[in-house]
Amino acid sequence: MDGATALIRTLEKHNVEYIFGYSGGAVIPIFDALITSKTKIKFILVRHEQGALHMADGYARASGKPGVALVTSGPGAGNAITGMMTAQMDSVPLVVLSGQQVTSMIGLDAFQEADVFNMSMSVVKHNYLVRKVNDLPRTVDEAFHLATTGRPGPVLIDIPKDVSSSAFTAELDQPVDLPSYEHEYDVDESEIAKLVAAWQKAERPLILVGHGVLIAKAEKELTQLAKAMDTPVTTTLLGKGAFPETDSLSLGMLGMHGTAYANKAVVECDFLLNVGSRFDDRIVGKTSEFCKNAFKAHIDIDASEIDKMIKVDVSIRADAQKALAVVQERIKPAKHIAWNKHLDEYRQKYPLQYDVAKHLTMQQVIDKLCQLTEGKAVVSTDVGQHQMWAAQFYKTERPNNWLSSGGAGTMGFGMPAAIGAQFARPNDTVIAIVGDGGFQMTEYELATACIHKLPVKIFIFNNHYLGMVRQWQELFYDNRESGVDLEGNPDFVKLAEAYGAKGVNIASADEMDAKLREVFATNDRPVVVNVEVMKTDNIFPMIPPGAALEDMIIEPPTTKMDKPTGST
Amino acid sequence: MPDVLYTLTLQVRDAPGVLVRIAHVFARRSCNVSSVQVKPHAGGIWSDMTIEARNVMRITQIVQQLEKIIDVKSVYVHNNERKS
Repeated sequence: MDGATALIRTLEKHNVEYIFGYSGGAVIPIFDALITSKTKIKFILVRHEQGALHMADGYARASGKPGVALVTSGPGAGNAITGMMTAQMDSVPLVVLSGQQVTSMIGLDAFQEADVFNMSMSVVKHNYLVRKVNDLPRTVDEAFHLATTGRPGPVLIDIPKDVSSSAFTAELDQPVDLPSYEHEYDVDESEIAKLVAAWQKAERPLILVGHGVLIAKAEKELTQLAKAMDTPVTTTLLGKGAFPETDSLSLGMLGMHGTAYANKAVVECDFLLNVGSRFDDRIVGKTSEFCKNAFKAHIDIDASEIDKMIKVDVSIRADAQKALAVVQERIKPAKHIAWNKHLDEYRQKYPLQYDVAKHLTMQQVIDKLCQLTEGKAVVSTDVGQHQMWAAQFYKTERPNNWLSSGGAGTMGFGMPAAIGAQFARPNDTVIAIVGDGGFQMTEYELATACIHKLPVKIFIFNNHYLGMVRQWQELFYDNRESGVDLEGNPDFVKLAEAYGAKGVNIASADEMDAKLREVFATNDRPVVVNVEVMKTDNIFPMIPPGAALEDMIIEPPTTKMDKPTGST
Repeated sequence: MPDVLYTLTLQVRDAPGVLVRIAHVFARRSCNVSSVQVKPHAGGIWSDMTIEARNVMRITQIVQQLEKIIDVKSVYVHNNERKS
């Protein structure tokens, strides 16, 4: 058995179903072993390594299992960097295998040799350069362990060609060797007692839910607690799906483009329980003003997130499920009728709404998509206005159904992530909501979707602009449009047909219903839907970057606004 | 704000790349590393690393980020009152 075969056998041990990747000189032994080992693992050949990484990421987010990617050395690994960064920022478990020059040539600037170990260091949870073939299976075991435990993330293993092709002479099963890695923490009972006491006497409590709840699979504990404590719930962009958004206690997403009622609840609450959110700058705005009169509690498995952005009164470093289960045992149910009624009034006064008068808008189509799929589809997005409208109008009902690049904000993520999700969940409806800008960054992966006849529904919201930047230029830079006009977009329907997908064009609200029926009736191949939307629509509510949540703009401003000084 | 010279002692895996991983944490937060001393334990897998750093804005963040490195076992901050 050679190193490559030992690698495949170890991947099988971890129940890997799919490897997303691209071949190249340095990984030929591994590609050969994919055949000679007669493995059942399916290899999905993509068109660019960034696509492979986002597919593995989409697979991981939609399945709750780690995603695996395989790329070659040099440019192959270089192209994988953005995908690793995306996964690292959003705590997504990936194992990334990259080929490398033979060990004797490393450091000599050999062909397609790149220092991937160092290049990737700041975008992964951990990485390895394997120098001895007999270390390979143990390294893979460690990579899966690191990727999936504690705060998850991508782990890269750089494998020189001579390592994968030389004879493997050790045992496949070796104990992992991670003596300085800790990932399980006991729940601090004294901190729980303080949390419970504060929640028990709160009059206006609020739960802020982040991705950590989904990672810890703590949705059940969270929902039971919210109901028992009659406490409203707001989620971050990545927390969508942890609590059903149609529930009467749900306030939807908070933050820069969150709902007015969620942001008002944050401003007015007297108790805030943050479970698994890192108080990202997109949700806290001006930190000194954030939720400043409330008692704040924070549950997070990563100690470096506690007190990083917002100083809290109680902190519990633990797995969210474990911590919430203890809170459940210690707390007595409560009612908050007046507070919930007050928030209901905000819901009535400041609803999410859109104009159906003249032009077709993204909001209208997303709202319709949500109705048609009853909030149960797997939805992936790209980054920009369409992403925020999707977050507002697609009410996510279930865990692992919302896939969006939150921390990194990676354009080009949406479509390949949807492909990965469809591989993970072949029987579920998977929708990619993307803009005309982001779609063109990874559009070549339509080939991958077509080869495998995946029934992904790809909605391109085409405003012929990089809409979010154009909105900022309109609001903060005297409407000077610079570098945002996407003149030269191709005919996306023809492009889809050229790849073998079905192409559909929706140009007006009148034809929307009939066209959508056609889209959802097509399940033998991908469907690309070009939606011609209003060119210069702006998304509100909006908290200007660096401003306090109180300073949220609910409607288009009538006076000129100052240039923002806060986070980009 | 006076520029305090921080002294940290870390117990780390004696593994290739551990120094780079640690240097990344300081560099990304605009800290200048003034000195580094690495002493491998005899016959073992560990090294003691002593680092002196200036321009440290948020020592807690630095320590917590260092502790997250898989090859770092422990981080100890010494006399953080000494002036440079």
